[in-house]
Amino acid sequence: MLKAVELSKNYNGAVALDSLNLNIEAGEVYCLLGANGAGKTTTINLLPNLRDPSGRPAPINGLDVTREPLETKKFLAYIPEQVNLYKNLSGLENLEYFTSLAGKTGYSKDELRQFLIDSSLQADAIDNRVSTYSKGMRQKVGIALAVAKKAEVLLLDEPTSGLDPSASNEFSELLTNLSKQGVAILMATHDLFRAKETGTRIGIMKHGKLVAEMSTDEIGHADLEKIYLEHIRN
Amino acid sequence: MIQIIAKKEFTELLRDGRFRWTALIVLTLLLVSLALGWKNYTTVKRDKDAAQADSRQTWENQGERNPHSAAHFGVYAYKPKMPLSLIDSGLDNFSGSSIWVEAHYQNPARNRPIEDATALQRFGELTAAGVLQLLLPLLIIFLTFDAFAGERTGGTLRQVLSLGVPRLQLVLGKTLGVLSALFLLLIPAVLIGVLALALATDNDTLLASLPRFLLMCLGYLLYFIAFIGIALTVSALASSVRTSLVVLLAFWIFSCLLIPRIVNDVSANAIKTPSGAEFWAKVKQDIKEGIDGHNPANTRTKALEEKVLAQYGVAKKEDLPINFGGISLQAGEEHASQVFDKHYGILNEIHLSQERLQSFFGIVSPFLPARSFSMAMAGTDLRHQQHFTDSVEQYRRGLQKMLNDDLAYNSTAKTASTYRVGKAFWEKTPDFEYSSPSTSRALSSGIFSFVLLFVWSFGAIGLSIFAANRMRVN
Repeated sequence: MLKAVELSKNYNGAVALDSLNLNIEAGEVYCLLGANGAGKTTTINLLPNLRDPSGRPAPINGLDVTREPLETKKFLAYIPEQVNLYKNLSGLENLEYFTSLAGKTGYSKDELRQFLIDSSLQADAIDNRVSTYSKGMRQKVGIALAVAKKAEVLLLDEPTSGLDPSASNEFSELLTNLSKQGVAILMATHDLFRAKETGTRIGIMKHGKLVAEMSTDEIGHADLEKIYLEHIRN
Repeated sequence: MIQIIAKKEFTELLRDGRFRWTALIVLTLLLVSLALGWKNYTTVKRDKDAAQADSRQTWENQGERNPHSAAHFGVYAYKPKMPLSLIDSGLDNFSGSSIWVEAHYQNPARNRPIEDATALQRFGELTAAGVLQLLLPLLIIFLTFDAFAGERTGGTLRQVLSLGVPRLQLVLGKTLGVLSALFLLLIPAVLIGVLALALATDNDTLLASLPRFLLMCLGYLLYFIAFIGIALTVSALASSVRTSLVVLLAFWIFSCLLIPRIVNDVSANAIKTPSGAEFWAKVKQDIKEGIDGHNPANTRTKALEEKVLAQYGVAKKEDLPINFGGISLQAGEEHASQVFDKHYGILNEIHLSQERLQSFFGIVSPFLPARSFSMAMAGTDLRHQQHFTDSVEQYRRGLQKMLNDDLAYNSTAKTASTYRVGKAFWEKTPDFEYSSPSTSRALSSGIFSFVLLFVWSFGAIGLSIFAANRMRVN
């Protein structure tokens, strides 16, 4: 579903991403771990073509993101660390706007409302302006958007950082549900616990390279932390 | 897609206190200026109509008089106020509003309203045109400076682009959104403008003014689109919201305040206007010595005398069945007319060249073509002023010929000194009636400005599309 072959990126000569290879199948939740500056965010940014890759482009669903930027974006939903919404519009209006922009104009107001409720946004907050929303509530609008868009690939950049444990847990459940529906998920995170809980596979990055890859079934929580620290410290 | 973006921009703007307050202030100023324009128009029109009627009445009731004496007595011709001057008073305050019609001389228009104005009024008066040309662009800048820069800082731009929205549609949507918000205040303003026009004029004048009014609206629309395009371009390229605002304000000061001042000085220095004394010295010299300088007045009179004597087959002026004095006066008028055509022609050409030079600065400032086009449509520009002075001169020449012919053919050398005509004759002389140039004539003189506005608006939108395509997400 989501495939990166020899994905590279330089920022004014500094290597941010060095020949990264990734292959994520439908229903997988792939968690990218690594220190700040390891290249996780760069990877996520290259996939929806927010930045031009310096080397070979990344295909999504067999399509080249740089050559067919609009076509590939239809399969894809992107949720940054901070889901940015229009603060003068309500959560519902934001969802309506973004789903319309994504080409899904057929939804009724009730259907859109249901997407927000399914993403566990409180019903009484749906019509409030987003300027009153907490970070977790914005994330839920982001998830509702991914669902409404019928995204097949979901890219998340540290989505749970700054969320309280219960909001974080709620968020992980939403991701698990999505992956059960066959969505391929790539998530950059610092949260080892969540990565182990939610992820199906884990990749550890360092200096723009993927230094380790493992399946979460094979390891326990303690193992993961040990492996992670070993790779980061050496 | 464009519609969806436009609708969202529109909703956001309406919920933004910034728009509500600035739009309210601009709308208020627009309405106040229209009310002032309407009041000014009706007062000035009433006064001018009264003065014109008064001048005619004085003329008709001047009593028994020799026709040439009446020619020196003279009448006044007043420039009627154009209906759309209630929106754009243009050069009205700086150009003469009346002409004294007398024998021998084509007088310039006198009584510039600015001469009677207080020092404070020299800063300019509040007109709807001023609000539209100066403040509306400022409002557009306040609404648009963060269109892209704000979305980039807020992160929504990344979100929108990750959804695969083509940048072209994003630009067009935003343009339409800002335009729809502007229409919220422009549509009431246009309606009030038509209402003011309807109240101030009769039905025929209103109907005749509507095409000019609509063209004027179109000109302003292009002007506003140009500013939206420029603001979107800067917003897309600026590194921050603050930079975008500063650059746009600098552009506004440059194109709406600095350039209009600079072009006046540049054109006045590049193409010099002769002083009044120089002008009249040349006119008097040409009248005296002949238009080519080789045909002095006394030679001309001598030749004319010989011709008339031969025509009637008599030897002396005293034996003529007509009054040679009247013939000679008319011949003098006709010669002077050539002289005036030459020298006023040169003067008018100087003014037009200055104006042409100024209009080329419209390449760097959309304010200039917007101002010229608005004045041309309002009928308050230089060409309309020249059309008025030309019409008065045609009237003067006709009137002089009628008076001179009467003196020539209804009196003789003997009766000339006692020849008098009375009220019946004065009533037969034509009254001055001015009809303003047609819309198509006004449009043909404003066409350069219109084309420039067109280029500005399409160019600016094109530029913003280009900028949006080059725009980085963060």
